[in-house]
Amino acid sequence: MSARKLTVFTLTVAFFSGAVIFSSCGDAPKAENPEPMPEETAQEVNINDLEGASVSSRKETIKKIFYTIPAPMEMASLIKSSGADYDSDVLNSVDNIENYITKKQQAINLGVYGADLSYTTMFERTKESLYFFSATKALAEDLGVGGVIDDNLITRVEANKEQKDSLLSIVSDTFWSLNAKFKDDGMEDYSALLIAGGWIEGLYLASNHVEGNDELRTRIAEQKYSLDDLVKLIGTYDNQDNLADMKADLEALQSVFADVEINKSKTETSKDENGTTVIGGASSVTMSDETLAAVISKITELRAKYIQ
Amino acid sequence: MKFLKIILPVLLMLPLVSQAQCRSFTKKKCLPELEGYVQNDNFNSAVLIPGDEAELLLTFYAGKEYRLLVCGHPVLGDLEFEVLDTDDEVIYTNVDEENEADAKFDFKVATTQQLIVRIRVPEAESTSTLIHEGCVSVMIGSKEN
Repeated sequence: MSARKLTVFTLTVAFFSGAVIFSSCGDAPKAENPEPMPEETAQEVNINDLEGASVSSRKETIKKIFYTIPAPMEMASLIKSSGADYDSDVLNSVDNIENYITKKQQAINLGVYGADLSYTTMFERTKESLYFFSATKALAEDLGVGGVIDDNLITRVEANKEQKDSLLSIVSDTFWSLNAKFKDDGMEDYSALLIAGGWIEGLYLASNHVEGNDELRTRIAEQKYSLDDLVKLIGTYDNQDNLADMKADLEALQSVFADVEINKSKTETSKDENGTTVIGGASSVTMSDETLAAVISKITELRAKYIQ
Repeated sequence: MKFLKIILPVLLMLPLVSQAQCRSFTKKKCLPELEGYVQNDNFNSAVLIPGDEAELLLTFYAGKEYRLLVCGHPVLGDLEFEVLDTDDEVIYTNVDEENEADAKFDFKVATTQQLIVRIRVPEAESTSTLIHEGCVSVMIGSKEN
């Protein structure tokens, strides 16, 4: 970026920030340009878009670490693609919603219902998906983030209820927005609980389809990676009071997953026929029948504890 | 100079970028780039300045196709990023002739992998003493292979 553009940006920020301060308007202002602009100026509008940029009061550089885990939608997709059949009996009943009184219970079960919603959507169970969407909306309202699931979103769900891909996208967008909203509002611990609840439910659902399904067995063993990341993720948040139980439970599960064997080999890359990079290698993740049984037992116990 | 005397106090009062602005920025500017993919629902966004680094660790499943998007506010310039395995071997970088400054990396995974995405905000070319900060979001979308 040129010095001139930076100067333009700085002065624009200064001008509009002044406008913000003096008008006491909460939202970032948008530059209004009634006249058509020449091409070069139009390119600068990108830079001059104030939303998401400012002048920093910080001078020291930092290194920000994001710990991320695969979304429940990915686990639902893995279950479906492994050839497993849909089973409504393994889902958390929406009637249980009345039991979730504390914010902590609500946040965890928002994640649980999110995973169930991902599962029903992946298996194209429209009626059940709408039930779980309603449960999600109710818990989001209880947690003070109900605005994410507004009437416009409900209308989109209704309009797209027979379109699997559209619904998958709406569900993912919704949970991304809920996570973001928790962070906006300084409720990062609830975001962590939501993610943990979704991960627990995803693993529970997979464990209920694993009998005679070797592919899913491998997928469950691979959750060792995600569990490690989830424990690290939870450890990054300040408000550990709400997270201590969950962290202890996940660490107990980690000790069960410790018996999963990972044989790591060198990562290899190649290109497919379309020129897309393919990342592979001969690494493998395996577990014994005893370890699988112990994982299933532990995740069933944890899930029962949190959904009751 | 008189202009600067007026502007500088205003700059000192500037509101910093909030998470809410980052969410809105990401939704408007970054999310559309994941069309056709199901996005990961984690919100990985931070307000960074030139010289800052960010790192993301994630498991990618065999048999899936992914789009990695490193999306930053234009005020930060072209963000540099690389994808590494857990042995710190570089698998992809956008700091080369082939992928120069590309914000997206589309790839398939043949065996489940833990990968690290390392992002760096380039140092500002400007000699200005003012440091700009902007939102950086790391987004991952997936779809069936």
